Amino acid sequence: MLLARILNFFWGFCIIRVAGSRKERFINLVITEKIPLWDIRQIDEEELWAKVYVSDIGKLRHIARKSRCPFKIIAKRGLPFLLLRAEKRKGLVAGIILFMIMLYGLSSFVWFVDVQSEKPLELLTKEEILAEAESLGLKPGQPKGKIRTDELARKMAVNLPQLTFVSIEIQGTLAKIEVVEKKVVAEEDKERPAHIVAAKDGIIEEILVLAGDPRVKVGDTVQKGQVLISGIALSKKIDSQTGEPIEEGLPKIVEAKGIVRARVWYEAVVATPVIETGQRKTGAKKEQWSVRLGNQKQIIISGPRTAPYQSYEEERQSRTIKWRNLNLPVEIVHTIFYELETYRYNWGREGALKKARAEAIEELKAKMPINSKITDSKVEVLEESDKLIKVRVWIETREDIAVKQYFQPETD
Amino acid sequence: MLKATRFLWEKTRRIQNQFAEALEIPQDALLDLPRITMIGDAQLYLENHKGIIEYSTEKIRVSVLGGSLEIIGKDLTLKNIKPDEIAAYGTIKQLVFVK
Repeated sequence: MLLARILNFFWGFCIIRVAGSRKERFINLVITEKIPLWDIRQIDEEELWAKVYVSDIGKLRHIARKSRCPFKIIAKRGLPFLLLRAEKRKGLVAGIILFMIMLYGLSSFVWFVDVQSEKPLELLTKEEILAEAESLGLKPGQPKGKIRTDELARKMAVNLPQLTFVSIEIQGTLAKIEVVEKKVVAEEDKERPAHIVAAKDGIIEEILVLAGDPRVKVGDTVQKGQVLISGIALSKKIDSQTGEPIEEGLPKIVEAKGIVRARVWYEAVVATPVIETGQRKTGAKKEQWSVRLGNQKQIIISGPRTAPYQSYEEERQSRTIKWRNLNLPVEIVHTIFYELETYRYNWGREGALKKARAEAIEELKAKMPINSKITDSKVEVLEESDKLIKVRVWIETREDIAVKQYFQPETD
Repeated sequence: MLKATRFLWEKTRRIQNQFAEALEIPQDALLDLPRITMIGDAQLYLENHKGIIEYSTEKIRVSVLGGSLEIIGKDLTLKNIKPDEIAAYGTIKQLVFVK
């Protein structure tokens, strides 16, 4: 049916008014002549309206005379008539055509050039890449057909050695240059003068020197920042007479390398209640949905009107309704009330101590390197009452405390 | 004379009828009988018609084989007319065969 209507629109049809007492005869004659006639509707006693194709109007005149039912065209519908009318409004039609041509024409140019990179650019700036693209001919205002993206990308990769990958993609009027920069050569590969210093206070347990001059021995107590392995290495020679090493020549400046394991202590003071009281969720909850208009009215759609529990915790999520860029002043608010109950728990002295230790370790772990091993721990009670126990917790670990510290050698 | 032709006509019809029954051919195909399809009381399709006798918004009378068919209703319009098919839309109340 819809298809027929669309076809009728393109073909063009007329609405005619047939008058006369013998309109049935008119219809029958139309049928026998095989002229399409549709939407026949009686308006009053001696009048009916019908639709007919424009091309059949001529044949109808003959039938009208035969059945003595004169008809009149009351409306013309469809594309052919629209075109006829358009002929009278040449300016409008010309404008529409011009608009389309311009739209098509303008969309065949590149108007925007953009640089995109997965990682932030380090070696080059966006402007440098854009300047290079421009010198190769990729700039706003360039016709799309002229741009050979593959060739351009290859040339750009050659001209900019900092890039390992360049791809150019044209999306509409936007030319997107996607780049991947070469990996920054790790500076560590180059030798730079450095000491190894202690990251923390501790007692040296083990020292392994790969490069540089050790300044501490096993069993030494070191402080944070103290040089453990120096980057200024003095070439030594063992004196043949005394057996003592003698320093000679100029010191060599190297990047010290090595592993220094030490015993390190951490301490924390933790207070834990022996008898813990507090509030916790019982598990019961009630949900409430409401709509907020603007900033004032809140309309509750489902759920309780007010908090259903004596003590409760509220969790609120609100979502604004968005349509494109428009923020409607309507908010959907989802509130969950959790019932709370007060509880009392007696940990006991031993339990409290255990808990304090666990808490302290948890707290101290943040300060420790990931791979450090806890070798010893001590708990000292500082204060004790029926309700509260305050303890100091010591933890001993073994860990690598070597940290590189670069320095500028003095130039003579 | 008229009586005789009528008698003959009815006789041939009877024979045709028996044929149709024996061969299990749908009667409308062989006998040129009207086939009516209705969708609720809103649409009516009539195949094998012999022309329109009367049309108004309350009543459509269509000539069919062996008489006429009256469609009585409200706001009746002839949606489509072809040499062999009529589509009537509106609110249909009654359908009467008049011999």
